[in-house]
Parts: sequence; C-alpha cells; structure tokens
Amino acid sequence: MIIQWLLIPAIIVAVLLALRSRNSLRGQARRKIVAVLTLVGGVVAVVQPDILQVIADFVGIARGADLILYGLALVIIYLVGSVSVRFREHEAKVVLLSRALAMSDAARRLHDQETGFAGTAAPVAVDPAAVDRDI
Amino acid sequence: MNMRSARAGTGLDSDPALADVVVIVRVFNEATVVGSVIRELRDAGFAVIAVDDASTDASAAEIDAAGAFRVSHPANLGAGGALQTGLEAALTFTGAEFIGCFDADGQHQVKDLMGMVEVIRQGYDVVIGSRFLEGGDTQIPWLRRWLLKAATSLMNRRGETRLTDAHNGLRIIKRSVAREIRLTYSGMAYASQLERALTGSDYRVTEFPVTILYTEYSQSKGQPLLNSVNILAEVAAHRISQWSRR
Repeated sequence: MIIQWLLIPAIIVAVLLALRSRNSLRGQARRKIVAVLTLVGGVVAVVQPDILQVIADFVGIARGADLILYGLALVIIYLVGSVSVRFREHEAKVVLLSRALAMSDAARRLHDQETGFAGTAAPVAVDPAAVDRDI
Repeated sequence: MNMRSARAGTGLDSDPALADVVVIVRVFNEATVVGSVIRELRDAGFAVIAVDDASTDASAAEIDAAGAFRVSHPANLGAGGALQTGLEAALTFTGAEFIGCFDADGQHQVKDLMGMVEVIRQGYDVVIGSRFLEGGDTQIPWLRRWLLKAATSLMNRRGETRLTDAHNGLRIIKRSVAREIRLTYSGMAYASQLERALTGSDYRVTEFPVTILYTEYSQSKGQPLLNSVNILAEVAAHRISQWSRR
C-alpha cells in the first residue's frame, strides 16, 4: 500500500514543519505555495471528480473521499502545531514587555525612595481646560 | 561598604557582612507566608528583591511591609519569567557579587543560605542546594523522590558536572554567571534550562546539603506531580522549535 508510505512520513513532516519557527521568509513563501496549490487542487477536484478516484486507486485507498479526509487530517495536525508555536512566540514578546514595564516601575520607585521623594505614584492632576488653551 | 545607611528603607540595604549578597524571592499569591519569609531574610541581614509575579492577593503589600525591594510584573509570567526578572533586577539595581534564590513558601531555611554564602565566597561560581546530599535532612515522598532522580539523571547526560538534585530552588550564583543567563521557558520547565546554563559552561559548580521543609502549606502550593508531563512536553516542543535556528 503506497498510502502507508506516504501518510506516515507526511504526519511526521507536518508536525516538524508546524513546530519549527515561523519567522523565516522561506517558511512564509512555502505557506503561500501550499495555499495556491490547495486552491488549484480544490478547483480541479470539483471540475473533474474522477481524478480524485484515479489518485486514490493509485495509492491504494478505496474512495477519493477518503483521500480528502486524510489530507484534511494532515492540515489539522499542521495547523494545531503552527498555531501553538505562534502563540508561544507571542507569549515570549509579552514576557519581555512585562519585564521591561516591571523594571522601569521598580527603577522609578527606587529613585523615589533614595531621593526621599514622599509623593504617591499617581500622575499629577491636569486641568483639561488648561491643556486645551495651551494647544 | 555600609549599604544599610545609604539605601536604608529600600530593601536593597544589607548588613555590612552580607553587602556582597542579594537574595531573589519569587512571589505568586503567597500572602500568608511571604511576609515572614522576607522578614527572616531581612533580619539575617540580606538585601532582598521580591519579584511579585502579578499576585492577585495581598502579596505585594506583604512584601512592602516586610521590607523587601519589590519588582511587580503587570502580568503573570511564571516561575522562569519571574526568576529572569529577579536576576535582571539584581544586576541593575545592586552591585552584589553573589545572587541567591530563595522560595517564598517557607520551605527553604535561612541558615542553609548562610552556609551557601560561605561556600561560594571560597571561589565557586554556582552553589546549588541538594536534598540528596549527606547532611541534608529532607523527608521526600517516594514518588516525588523517584521523579526527581529520573529528571536528574536525564539532565546529567550533558554537562560534566554531576548534580544530585535537578530541581532545587535554593541556589546562589556569581554576578558574572547571572549576566549570562537567559531564561525563555515559561512555567517550571525553566529549571532544566537554568541547570543547563549553570552546568554547561566552565563554571565551578558545587552542591550544598539543604533541608527542605515539606510543610502542609508548601505541599499544597508545590508542584503537582502531573506537572512533570507539562515540563517534559515544553522542553521537547521548545527544542524542536529552536532546531532550525541553530
């Protein structure tokens, strides 16, 4: 059965590709190519449904519909992986932002404590009318 | 050298005998115990930086009342994120030569940290607390002990330095070492990343026998055993993600 030799490596490749970093230009280009191929494949499958059956027979699947099912399974595996990686990268940025904020806040408080500044952290109240006039 | 008068009231002042040390305490919702832990450290003469990891209880107020210097995350970053912040704060706000890490839940003992300070001053780069060395007196539940041993042997496959306890939160490291640490894992998986950073280079690393108090409180707050699955998965996913970048 050819399909077994295709599906198992395909699953592994889908997982590895999905988990790899998304930020490369090559990766972006690859995804666009896949998108275009999917579009073309979809149109072909609608116009000439028999082609699916021919491919299915060739790789040893009973029905063309099953071929689509296997394809979908691969896409979902890839999507779950790539979304989770993207989420992780996003999280890393939030971490850096939060840390920068925490550090600058701490630096300000330390400065206040060392210079004996006794005021609160609240911003100075501004009279909106005065601001308007200045502009 | 008298830091106490210069920075009195900031939490970064210390006993002149401990002027070369700053202690990082990570805090996430530990309001009931963190005050007494920090007070104990302060009474011993340590400068203390408490990283409040966006606690939703009264932890921040407890930290301020106990007299530590507080660095507050606007959002929860997890254990590794908080430790990284603590290290950066120690490097930025103090000139301390040695940076210690101490748990906020009361399971570590100040006298162990004092002993580790003495050891690192003898010329080590890293001193890590171990529950499994002779001299320690920790009662560890058997399943936890087995998991820790397994994690330790997995980790030890790399560095030349043999460690007996992989995931001990009580450590003290030199300033130059802290400068090299970049913790990017969120959550508890940071521990393996940290241990790799500490034992991978040519640092002089040693262990120090410590006693962990598995109090009812620290047990209830501590790591659920099932979390080791999360840690393994995170390490694995991270390695695959980084694969192509190297």
